[in-house]
Amino acid sequence: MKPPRRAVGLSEGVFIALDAIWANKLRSFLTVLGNIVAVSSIILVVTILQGVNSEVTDLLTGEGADVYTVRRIGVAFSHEEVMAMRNRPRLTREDARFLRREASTIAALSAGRDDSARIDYGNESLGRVSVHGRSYEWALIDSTGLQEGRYFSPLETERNRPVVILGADIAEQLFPGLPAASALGRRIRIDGLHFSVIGVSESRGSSFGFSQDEFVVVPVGTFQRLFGSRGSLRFSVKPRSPEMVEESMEEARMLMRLRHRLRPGDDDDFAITSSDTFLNLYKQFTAGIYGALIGIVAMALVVGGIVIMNIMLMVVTERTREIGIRKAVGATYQQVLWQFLVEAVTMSLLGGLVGISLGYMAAAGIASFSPLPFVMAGWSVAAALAMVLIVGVVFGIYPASRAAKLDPIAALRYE
Amino acid sequence: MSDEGVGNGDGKRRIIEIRGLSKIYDMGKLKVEASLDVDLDIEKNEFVAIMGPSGSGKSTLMNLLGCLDTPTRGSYKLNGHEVSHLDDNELAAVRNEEIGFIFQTFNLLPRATALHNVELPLIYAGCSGRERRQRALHALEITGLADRADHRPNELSGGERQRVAIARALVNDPAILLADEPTGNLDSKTSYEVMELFIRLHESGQTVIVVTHERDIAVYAHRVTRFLDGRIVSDERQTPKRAAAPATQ
Ligand SMILES: Nc1ncnc2c1ncn2[C@@H]1O[C@H](COP(=O)(O)OP(=O)(O)OP(=O)(O)O)[C@@H](O)[C@H]1O
Ligand SMILES: [Mg+2]
Repeated sequence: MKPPRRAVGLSEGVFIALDAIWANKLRSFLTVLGNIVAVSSIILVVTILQGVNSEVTDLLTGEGADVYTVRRIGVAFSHEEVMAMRNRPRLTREDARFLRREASTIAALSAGRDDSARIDYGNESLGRVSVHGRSYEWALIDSTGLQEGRYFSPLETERNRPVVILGADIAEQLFPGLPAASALGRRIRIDGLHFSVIGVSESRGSSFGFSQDEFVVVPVGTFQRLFGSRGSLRFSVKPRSPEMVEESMEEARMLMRLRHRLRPGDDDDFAITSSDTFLNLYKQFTAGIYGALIGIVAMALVVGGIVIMNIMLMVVTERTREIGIRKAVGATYQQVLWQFLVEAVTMSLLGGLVGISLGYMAAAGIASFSPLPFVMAGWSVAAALAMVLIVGVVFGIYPASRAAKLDPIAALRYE
Repeated sequence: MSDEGVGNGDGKRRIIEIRGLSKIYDMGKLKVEASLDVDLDIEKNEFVAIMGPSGSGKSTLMNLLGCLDTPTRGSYKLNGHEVSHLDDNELAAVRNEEIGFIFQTFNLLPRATALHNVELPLIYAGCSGRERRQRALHALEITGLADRADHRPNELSGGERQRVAIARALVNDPAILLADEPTGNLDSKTSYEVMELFIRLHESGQTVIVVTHERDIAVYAHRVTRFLDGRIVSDERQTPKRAAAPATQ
C-alpha cells in the first residue's frame, strides 16, 4: 500500500559512526589495536620483503635467467654435506673445454673464478677490487654489456694476455673526470702486474646499497697466473635456447659424470645450479616468512575482531535509549542493523588506515637506515583494507543484530 | 484545514477505531492486565485528554495507539487499516508515517542538534538531505524554535526540548499526535506554553491525544477519557477552555 522505504544512506551511517567514534576516541583506538597491529605488520613485512625481492631478483638475474652454473660446491644444508663436498675434484679449464666440445645443447661456456686485488694507475690506488677471471665466450654470456671497447679475443684468452675490462665505477675512480673511452689503451697495474684496458662495462647500478660496478675482468688464464691455478673454476653455461635449460643441465651433468668417471650409483661430485635454484631457495625462505606473517596477522585480526565485537556489544547497551528513539520514530530492523554494522566497519577500517600509516612509516624508516629500497606494494594495502573490512562485518554483525532486535518500548525505558 | 469548533460531527473521518483491545503482561505467576477490553473511536481533528490514576493503563494504551507495542488481543484500525497484527518492520513504517509520539522525557538524541533530531524520522523515511532540512526547519518554525536549530538538547531549556520533540513528531505530517504526559517534566508556566502549542496544532487540523494527570491541562481538550484499572470509566465531551494568554510566538 506504501512505497518501499530506502535504506539509510551510507554517508549518513558513516557520519553517525564517525561522530560516535570521535566521542570515544581512546576507547575506539584501543578497540582497533588488533587491527592496527595486524595491518601495520602486513605493510611492514611485505614492504621489506618487496625491497629484498627486487634486490635479490636483480642480483640473481645478472647473468641472464637462462644461464646455469657448473661448480664444485653446491648449496649445502648441513655441516656434513659441506664436509663431504670438500673432497671433490676441482673443475679445470680442461673440464670446460671437454664440456664445451662434447655438449650439443651449449651455446656458450665461460670458465671463471673471482678474487680481489689492489689496482693502481699513476697515483690512484684502489685496494681490494674484485677481479673476475673469464674465458672468451663470456662475451656471449655477459648481460651487462660494454659501454666502450671490446671483449677478449680468442687469442688473448688462449695466450693469457694481460688485458682487462673495467667495471664502470673502477674506470671512474682510476680516471676521474675523464670519459670512459679515454680509459682504453691505458696500462693499469693489478697486484703490480701491467694490464692494458680494452673495454669498460656498462653500469649495473647498485644493489643492497653496494655498487655493482666495482670489478675488473681479465682472461681466466691470466687470472690463474695472478692468483694461482689451485682454485676450482666455475662454468657459466648458456644453452642454445632458453627452453633448453633443463635439457642442457642434464646433458652437462652426464658429461661431467663421464669426465669424472663416476659409476652409475655414485653421487655427483659437482653441482649444477640455475639462477632458478637460488631464486627457488629464496622463494622458499620468503614463503616461510609470509607463512609466519599470515599466522600473526590472522591471530591479531581474530583477537582484534573479538575485541571489536565486545566493545560493540557494550556500545549497543550504552546506546539502548538512542536505539529506542530511532525505532520509535520509525527505524526498521534493517536500518538499525545497517547503522551499527557501518559503525563497526568504519571503526575497523579506521584501525586499518592507522595500521597502514604506521606500517608505512616504519618501513620508510627502515628503508632510510638500510640499503634496502622502499617498495610499497599496492596489493598489500588492498589486502589489509579488505581484511579489516571483513573483520568489521564478521564481528560487527552480531552486536548490530542485537541492536536491531531491541524492542522500542523496552529500549526507551532503559536507564 | 481550518475546520474549527470540532466535536462529534457525524461526517468526520474516523482515524482510530479500537475494539476489545487488551494488553496483558505475563509476569510468570502474575498476569498484569494493563489494558482490558478497551473500545475507543477517535475522529479526525479531535483533541482528547486521557486521565486516570497512576498505573491505570494510560501509557499502555498510548504505546498501543503509537504502534510501539502490540496488543495481546483485540482490534486496532488506524486510518481504516488493521494494524494489530503487523510485524515489526510494518509497525516501524506506521510509526514513521502516521504517528507523532511525544514523550514525557523528551527522548531527544543528546549528541545531535535540534535540527538533526527533527530530521530523524525523515532519515528513516528515505528523504533526500535537502528536503529533510527544509521540512525539519519548517517544523521547528511551527514550534517557534527555528532560531535554536543548531543547539544541542543540553543547550536548551526543558520547554524548548519538548518543543523540539513536538517538531520531530510533526515533521512527517502524521495522522495523529500522541503525547504521554508531555508536561510532566515541566514547570507550570512552561506547561502552559506547551499546551498552547497543542491547541494551535489542533486548531490547524491536527488530531491530538494527550495523557495527563492534571485537571488544568485537561480543560483545554474537547473530550476527556478517564481510565481506571485498564478500563475506560468515562468518556465525555466538553467545551474546552480557550487559550487566553498569548505567551509565546
Ligand atoms: N513492561 C511491563 N511489564 C509488566 N507490567 C507492566 C509493564 N508496563 C506496564 N506494566 C503494568 O501495567 C500497568 C499499567 O501501566 P501504565 O504504565 O500503562 O500506567 P499509567 O497509567 O501510564 O501510569 P502513570 O500515570 O504512572 O504513568 C501497571 O500496573 C504497570 O505496572
Ligand atoms: Mg504513564
